[in-house]
Amino acid sequence: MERTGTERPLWRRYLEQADPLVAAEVLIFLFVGVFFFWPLYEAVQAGLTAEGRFSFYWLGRLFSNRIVLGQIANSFLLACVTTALCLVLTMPMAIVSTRYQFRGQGILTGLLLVPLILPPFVGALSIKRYLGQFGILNLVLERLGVLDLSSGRPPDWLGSGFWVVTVLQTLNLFPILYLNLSAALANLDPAYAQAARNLGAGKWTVFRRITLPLLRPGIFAGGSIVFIWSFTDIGTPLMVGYEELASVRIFKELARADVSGRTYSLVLVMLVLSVLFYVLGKVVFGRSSGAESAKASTASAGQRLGFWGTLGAWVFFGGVILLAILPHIGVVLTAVSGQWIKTILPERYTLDHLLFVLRQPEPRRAVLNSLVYAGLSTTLDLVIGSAAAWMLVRRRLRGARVLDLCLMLPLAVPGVILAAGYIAMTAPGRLLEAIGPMRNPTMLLVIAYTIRRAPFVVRGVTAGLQQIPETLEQAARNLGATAGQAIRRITVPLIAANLIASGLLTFSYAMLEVSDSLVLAQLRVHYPITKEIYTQAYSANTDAMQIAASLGLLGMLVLGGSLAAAAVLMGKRLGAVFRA
Amino acid sequence: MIEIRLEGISKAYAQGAGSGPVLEKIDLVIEPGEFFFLLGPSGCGKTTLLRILAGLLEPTSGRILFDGRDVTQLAAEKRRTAMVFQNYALWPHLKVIENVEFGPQMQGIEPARRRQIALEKLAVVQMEAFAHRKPNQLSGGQQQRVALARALAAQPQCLLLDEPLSNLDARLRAKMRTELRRLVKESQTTAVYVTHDQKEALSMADRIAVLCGGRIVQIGRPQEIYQRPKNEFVADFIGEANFLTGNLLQTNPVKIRTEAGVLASEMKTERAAGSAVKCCVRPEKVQIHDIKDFADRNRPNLLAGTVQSIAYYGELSQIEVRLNAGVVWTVTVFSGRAEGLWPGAEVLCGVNPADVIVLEE
Repeated sequence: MERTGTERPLWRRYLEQADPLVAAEVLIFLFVGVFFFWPLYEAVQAGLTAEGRFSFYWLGRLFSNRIVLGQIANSFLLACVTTALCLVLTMPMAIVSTRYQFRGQGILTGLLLVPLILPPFVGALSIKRYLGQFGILNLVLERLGVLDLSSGRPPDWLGSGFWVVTVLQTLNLFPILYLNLSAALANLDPAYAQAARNLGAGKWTVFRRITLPLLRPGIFAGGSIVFIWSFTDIGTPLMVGYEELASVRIFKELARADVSGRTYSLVLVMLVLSVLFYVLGKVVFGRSSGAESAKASTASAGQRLGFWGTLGAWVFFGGVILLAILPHIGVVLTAVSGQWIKTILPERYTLDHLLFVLRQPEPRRAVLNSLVYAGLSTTLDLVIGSAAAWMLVRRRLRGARVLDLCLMLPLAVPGVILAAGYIAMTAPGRLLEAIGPMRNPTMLLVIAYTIRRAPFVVRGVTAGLQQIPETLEQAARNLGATAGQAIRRITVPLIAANLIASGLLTFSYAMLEVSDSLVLAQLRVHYPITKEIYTQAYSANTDAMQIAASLGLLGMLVLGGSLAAAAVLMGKRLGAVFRA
Repeated sequence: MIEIRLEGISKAYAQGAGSGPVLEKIDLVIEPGEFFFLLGPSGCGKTTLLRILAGLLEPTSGRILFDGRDVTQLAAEKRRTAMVFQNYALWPHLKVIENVEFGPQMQGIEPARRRQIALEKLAVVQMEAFAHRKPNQLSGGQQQRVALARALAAQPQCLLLDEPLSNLDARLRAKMRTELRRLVKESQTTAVYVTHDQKEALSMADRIAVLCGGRIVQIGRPQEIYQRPKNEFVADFIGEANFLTGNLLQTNPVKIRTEAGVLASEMKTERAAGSAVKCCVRPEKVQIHDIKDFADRNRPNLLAGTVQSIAYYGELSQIEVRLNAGVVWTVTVFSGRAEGLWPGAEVLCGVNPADVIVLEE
């Protein structure tokens, strides 16, 4: 009898005693280690290696190259301007939507989030149509008698493309900041502001001295995402045709067969800068003011707006929404336009391009690929994110804080940088060559999407779990439910909104993701929609733009379809999803 | 109906610097069918003890026995204790009836039968009309009843109530006390009730354990606890009390020389004459006499003083009297009695020897 214990091998006894949660934790750590830290290490190492030895050779060359330095400066400027524009645009929106009530508020604030799922990459396809020398804007101006297109050179609104990129990015990314700001504002105890008013501070002083400082963590949370996104975005600049950016340079060099230390040294610099800006932002803005721990002592019932106020709010919100979806309307029109030269609207409409795209095997496969990648990464994200959130909130497992930090780090590391790491990790002759871009990058793409979106899922689910009192789960245990039953019957239904919101966000992001897709999908059979669009748009085809736009339209339709499906599944609760 | 026996239950949290034990060697026997109260100020460990009974927390040491069976290591879901949580913990995504059905469902009772049980229990708390509402469509008092129905429907071995009335407004709370006691007693279940409200405990309990700093200070029936508190903490926490310190003049019968005068008590004490003691008198047990009415000022239990303030509470008034040596007593009288008094009036405070409580500690 006593011998049975010793007969089993040691590893098996360990396995039998292991807490499944601890095992899951170890697995997640392993996942993050192999697919986040390792590729970054590989990229950094490659940037610091010359002729097989540790060397600052490539970095030295980089810092003496004025063109590259200029591109880095451009990227920085682009990110600064985009973030500032977003902040200026969203601050009044957030204040209006949290401090006031008006008719149709729910619809408008819901629509504000639409740009989030319409990638600027696709919208940018139509930007020349709007702003070119014979674009819609100039044609409208001519019709109004402001411009005369027949004489002299009509103004080219695109310019170098810098401003167009900032505007497109702003219109795409502002919802992220809006969500963070309005959440921070809603959580702010109105008593803070009331106390200041009570002590004689004017509205503007209250905002400057009380509200704004208390909002700092919210500004950081949204602003840092916008900043890093814009700093390293490649999709929008490529589509607009503005290539004087460090990120675009990395992308172009990564697409070559022989990626050298020169590229990785730039990757290293961009990685260091991203993390540096993130940390700097966290120090300056992110310090907790302690306000969020205080529960609001009074309910902040919004003040009702009168007729003119409501009208103003509609014009403001409606204008921004319209502006944000204008590029995408252009894409739809381009996709169905037969002939569209020097006219405000197409002269003729046709479904030929759409049908062409549907009949061709490559675009069809691209749509299918995207669905597979997006579906898999969403599933993986939900599993990993929920498990991590649960460990963090409910079990306070040892190491859960570190795990949380690891899953949050992708916020500070841009997609194109991580993609460069994957390229380095799967270079010919390396251990993981088999999952590299030249073989079959399906797994890499899925993992890249998963890791880049994991922070949002962890945060989303964590927020959900924190909102439901632990006693709800304990009550179920107390009435005879096992841990599994309590999670299934009580916890999951209660955080369903958070799960679905996180899932939708992850899915829509993955469906039209740009950075990793453009870099990692290098054989046509593996192209997702975005890379196919990019390829079509840059093809020599005469109706390249229409075909690319048709693909974009297809992507948006799939996205809309999955959102609609979710709406049907969720019924009335979809509205709650976007507030989660 | 089960007997609950706690043997040397201790609980300490490992984390956090300087945090002492939450519970220290709690020994307790709760009789079958008893409505037992754990009473104490916040932080005394009463809720921790309740959660240990439910199996939601594990004690650091000690044993829990249900009818002699050791359940210390038994998982929460297998204990058949049903808890009414302070915030009710009604699941917001389930209807009232689904909430109440949950317990029977977990016991594997078939759907028709469990619906019947749930409706019965909802009827007991007069909430059957709300069966198909969601919890957030109910008022606080209604949620409280549903929470009780949910606990009762699980047909538990013992019922655990964690300050169930604390989220109700004062009027409703007073009304629910009587009703809750009736419902719990009718269910014939052993019940443990946690509260910091001494009125709740005194008016509802069969027996009360007063907790302080993780220890049980006194166990007894409400009358015992109120009339014969063991120490200053119990006397002060349950009701109000006027304290005096002094020396034991004689032990049988007890006479104490205090700073305000000599007090006789009918209580017995095991201490030797001459030792220092503390005694207390409840405010409503003090009679106020006009100083002119008494010739024999040296009679025991008659302490001279000056009225300091009079607070009017409707039917009752509270008078603060400054006795000799600066001791201030609070005296509660019917308001009519206070009418002839004014701040500065000289009075005599009289106490019946049966009402002078000699504290043990």
